[in-house]
Amino acid sequence: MAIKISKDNLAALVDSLRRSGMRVVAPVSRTAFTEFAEIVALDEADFSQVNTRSSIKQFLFPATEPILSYSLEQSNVKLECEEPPEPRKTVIIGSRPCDTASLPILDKLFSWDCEDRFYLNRRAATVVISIACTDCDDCCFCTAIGLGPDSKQGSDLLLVPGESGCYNAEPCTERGAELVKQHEKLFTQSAAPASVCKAVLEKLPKPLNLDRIANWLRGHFYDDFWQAASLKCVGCGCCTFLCPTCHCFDITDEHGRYRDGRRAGLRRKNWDSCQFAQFTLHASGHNPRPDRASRWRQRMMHKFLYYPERFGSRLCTGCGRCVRSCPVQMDIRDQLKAIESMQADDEQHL
Amino acid sequence: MAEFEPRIAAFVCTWCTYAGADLAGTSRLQYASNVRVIKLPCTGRIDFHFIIKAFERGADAVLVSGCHPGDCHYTAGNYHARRRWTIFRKLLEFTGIESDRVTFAWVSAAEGAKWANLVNEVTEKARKLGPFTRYKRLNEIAEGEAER
Amino acid sequence: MIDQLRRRARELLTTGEAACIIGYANASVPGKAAPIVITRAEDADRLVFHAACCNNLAVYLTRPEIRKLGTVAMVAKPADVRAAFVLMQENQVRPDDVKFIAVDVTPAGECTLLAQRTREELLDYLVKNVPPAELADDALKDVAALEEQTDGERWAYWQQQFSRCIRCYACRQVCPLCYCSRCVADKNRPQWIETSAHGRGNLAWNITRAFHLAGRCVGCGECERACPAGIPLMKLNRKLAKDVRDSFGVHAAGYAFSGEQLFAGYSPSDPNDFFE
Repeated sequence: MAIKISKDNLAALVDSLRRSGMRVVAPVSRTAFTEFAEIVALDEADFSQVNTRSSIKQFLFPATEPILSYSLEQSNVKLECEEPPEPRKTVIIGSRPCDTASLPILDKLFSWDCEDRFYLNRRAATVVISIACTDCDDCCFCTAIGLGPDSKQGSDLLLVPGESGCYNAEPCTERGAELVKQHEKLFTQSAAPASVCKAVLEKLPKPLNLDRIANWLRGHFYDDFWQAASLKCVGCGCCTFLCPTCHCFDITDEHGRYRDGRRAGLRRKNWDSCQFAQFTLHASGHNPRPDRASRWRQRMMHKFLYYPERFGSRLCTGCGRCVRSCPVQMDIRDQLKAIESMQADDEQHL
Repeated sequence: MAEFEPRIAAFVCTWCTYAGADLAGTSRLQYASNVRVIKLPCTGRIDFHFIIKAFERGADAVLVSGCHPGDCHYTAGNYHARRRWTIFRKLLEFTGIESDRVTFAWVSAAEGAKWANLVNEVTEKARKLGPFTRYKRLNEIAEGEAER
Repeated sequence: MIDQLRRRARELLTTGEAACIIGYANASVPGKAAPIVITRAEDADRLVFHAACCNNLAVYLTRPEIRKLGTVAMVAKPADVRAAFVLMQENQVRPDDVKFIAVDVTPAGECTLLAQRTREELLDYLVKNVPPAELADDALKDVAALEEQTDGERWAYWQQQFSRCIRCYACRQVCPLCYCSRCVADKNRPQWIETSAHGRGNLAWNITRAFHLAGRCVGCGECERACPAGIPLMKLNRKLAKDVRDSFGVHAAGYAFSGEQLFAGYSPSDPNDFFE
């Protein structure tokens, strides 16, 4: 039997979660832009926007975080290996399915060859309640990547806007089911929900043939396409930093002031971007990705060939932020379409 | 409670102000000990990043000093510096850093007494302003002390 | 107008006067325009110019990938011409390597192709017709409002703005005058500017970006438009433009393509009142 929750009861859920000591995060429109931020009551949240400017990635993998601290006594380095801080128990409400779908992608990465406890601890302490989309904009392309406005990937609980301000609720994980069980009184029985996402589906693009794209990428590391495709790129990190799935980071030491009479410092983990010239710069001065073409190629290859080969899914959820925020209107959708048709041509000529 | 002792970084040119400070010392002039002197070839070499870095390292105030206009050992280094500081100090003020936190001065090799007075004045100004808590707060956050 | 523009572009490519044209094309997102680089005359029909064409195309003049192509002709709005002029003044671009297809928008909002082609003609046009946008009275109102606040209020204001900075460097990358092959923000031995997106690193970076453009910024507003965090960067740029004007009595940047730049020069009569 399906269940639903009214807007008032959702507000009560927020209150209850906060009373139990959890941080509740939701999209808010405090400035000209809608961004995720901590809320104290549901009426602060703004679920009316297509999406927030930056993704929920920041709550699990922040732009900068300390990973250890050290101090120097004469020439001896004293390491103060920091255990990852105890993460704040957090509930994210109103994440769009495209954002939420980035979590399983990041999970695989951060628990791959080395367990990144900074990420994983936060992940374990985070519950995600997604809200399905009833609208999209010119940049959304989740359907092209095999997702949709009501995809469940990553969600603990999926809310689908229903009639008279109610949300049809669907627990997707044990954590989600547990949450519903703890707040049983706030949920009511509902007839099987009619999907409101149909209308938006019609506006979204057709699925791309992602295998075909991967096949082309596999054979075209060296190709004039990359030069042409990247010529207007200015090499900023907008696309990567706003991307919910981009996860590259840099490790940097920041020497601080004296602490307890000793020179001290901090090692930090900061977002980094494959679009930066310095990303692959070697200490020798050699740079294996010396130009924009090779850096742009890396972004495409990583998202649609390397990551899929290793982990089986794409490093993209079609949230459209890279299209929306690009200062020079680079459009990854166009490039994917171009690649798909080049591969189709190649296959025909086989 | 002990009186607040500000920490002040002084960036000075080696030809005039450093020599002036030296003269103050050899003349046995007494002055506030709050200033840490950092000697550079010329005021033209004093990059604005030095000032920012001083605050990042916990300075409560900064003093920048060199040869009087026309007296630069390198002919025009201090003229170039003056032009930059004219704009830079206004930018600092605009971002909310009190103008009294950064002092600019011309002190010649003969002006030992001026140096001693200047340091006293700058120290007094900084004492009045109190610790640079705004910047120290940034430092605490950046150095992870806020979470500790 | 657009036919004239395309005809001119075609002509430049066919005669070999230019090896490539940097202009605007309609973007895939409806209503938006994107920069485009074309090298074949038949692609000239892709060029457009309308109100959504906002990028400062002078940013491409110093890019190695574009330089390799040869002589560049750029579709240039007044701000783009000004930026190109500063690049010439700073010896980053050889004047003869750039051809202008100059465009402007009339006060009535009509897009026009300018008859002016040489840099002398364009300079004359700028001086007579295009006052610096960054110094317009209206534009300076928000600067004045902030100046009137206390330093504590200003600090709080900018800390709040800078706290959103994620250090993507879009502001730097879209700026035609941020052309350093290695930015001071990318240097780590010694590291003057922390790369971390915490308050201290963000303050150092944003002060540096603004100050490195003092007396050079042409007020195109690209940094602010590109900023994904919505930081009002032009407020800093306008403040600096105003202070440069008031302190040194010089005209805004980009109204000369040769001669001395502000911080490369000095005058014995520069302000001295703030020195002890």
